[in-house]
Amino acid sequence: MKLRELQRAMQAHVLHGAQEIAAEVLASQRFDIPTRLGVYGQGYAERLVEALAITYPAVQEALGRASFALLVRELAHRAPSRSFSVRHYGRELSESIAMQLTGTRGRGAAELARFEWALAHVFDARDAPRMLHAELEQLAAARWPRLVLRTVPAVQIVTLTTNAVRWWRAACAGAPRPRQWRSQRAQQWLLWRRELAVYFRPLARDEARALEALQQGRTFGLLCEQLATSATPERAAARAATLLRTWIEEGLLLSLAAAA
Amino acid sequence: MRSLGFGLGLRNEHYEAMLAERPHVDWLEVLTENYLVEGGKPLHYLERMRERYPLVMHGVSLSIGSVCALDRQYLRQLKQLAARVQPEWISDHLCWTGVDGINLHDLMPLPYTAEALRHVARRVGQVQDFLGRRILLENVSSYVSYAASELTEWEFLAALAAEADCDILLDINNIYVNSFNHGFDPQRFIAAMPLERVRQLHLAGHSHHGNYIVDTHDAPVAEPVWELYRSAVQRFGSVATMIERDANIPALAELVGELETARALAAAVRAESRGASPRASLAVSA
Repeated sequence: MKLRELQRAMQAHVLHGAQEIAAEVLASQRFDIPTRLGVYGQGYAERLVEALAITYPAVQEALGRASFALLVRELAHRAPSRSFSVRHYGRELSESIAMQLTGTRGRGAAELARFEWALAHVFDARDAPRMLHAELEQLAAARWPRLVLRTVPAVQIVTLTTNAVRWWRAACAGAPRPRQWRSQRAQQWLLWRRELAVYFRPLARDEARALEALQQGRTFGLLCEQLATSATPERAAARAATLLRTWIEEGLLLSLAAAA
Repeated sequence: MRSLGFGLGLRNEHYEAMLAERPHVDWLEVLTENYLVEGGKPLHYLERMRERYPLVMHGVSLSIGSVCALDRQYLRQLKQLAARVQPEWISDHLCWTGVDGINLHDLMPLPYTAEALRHVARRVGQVQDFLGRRILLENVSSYVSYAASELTEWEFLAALAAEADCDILLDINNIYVNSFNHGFDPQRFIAAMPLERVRQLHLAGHSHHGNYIVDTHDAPVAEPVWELYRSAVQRFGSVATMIERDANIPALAELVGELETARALAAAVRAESRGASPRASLAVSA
């Protein structure tokens, strides 16, 4: 068997249990061919279960180790990794959960997976200089309406319709699980990193819309107009100032110099 | 050639302890893929380690033996990281990790054939040309040997190093694991390695299943591996040596203790070879 066929046959064994490779492998009395090949076949799934348990610790805790392992094994065989780093494998776990688990539990666990995937990306997103208050204080008044603010790369917004975050908190604290998965009104969550620490908090509706506008590249003037659709102009201006102060203090905004 | 001395594989569980305890460690090996990220904690700690220790980079995804094209994106990122880290050297494994775009995230063994030798040597050349430096390739543990093989593993590795002009990272544990799984004398492997190309040694633990051994790197170095290390020091002298633990990560002090065992053993072997002391005893911690 040529090298190309041999590698394809070996990979087919690892992924699908194909037996063609067995004829190419030498046996010994104490270490037979099925056991030899089994080290690779079993090791493949076990390794990905271990890797995804690092990315999805709360999903594993919430579903239990056995159920989590079954989900990952199914994913590992259906959608193998195409990334050079195992760190980037497993984005599809949320869809796998949604396909295989039913009801609110399935939706909640899928949302929990989406939440943890976003946290993982915030964790090692690109470092970028954050905006300081002084940058805006030095800005000429005439520039404000056309000012475009940008968020740092380590900002994500995730919309959840279940109590997935309660499950996450319980798993991370080692506390008892919530009694059940529950549906709730759609809530947007802001996830971000400041220096090395990762944070998250729920977003008020107007703030979520304002951040989305920011991420779409809209100007500060348009952002103020958007806020004014649900408040008086005075209140909208005050709200814009509050949001801006909060975002700067939390390290959400990219330095104007870096954004230019 | 100057030896780096005795090092450890850096694991994120030990970031803070490495900085706080400043253990007796001469250099660190960092896992390349852990730092092919855009920012955050991994790169932060990498920089801090770089300020304190000589670093070498050790990858798992080069897939040098795969029949599929080299991953140019991976190579670009590898080169960028190397420019940032300025490692003493870059290593990966003599294996393939997948074909047709798939990564099995495992170190799959090659058949030791003339065809594979030509194929891998050509690719090592491409990688070394791209990186502008020699790389080290590590022997991997394996559980299958192929009927097609025309050479022994050690003949293949030595021939590859000569053909491709690359260096060797010799994993002593992997030699022992393979000698048990495939039934050969591990001393033959040690004896066949070209002295001038072995630049680093790995020491690690494994899981014994009675009729075979799995290279789990999750336990202390086993006694037969220490014994083989003794032979390696006798043959290769002061080659950079490190303890590699990939799972079941213990406290840093435990790994530093194992490293001290390696230091003592190597010193004893060297003294013995100078005729200064009786046969080095194995001071293996329980």
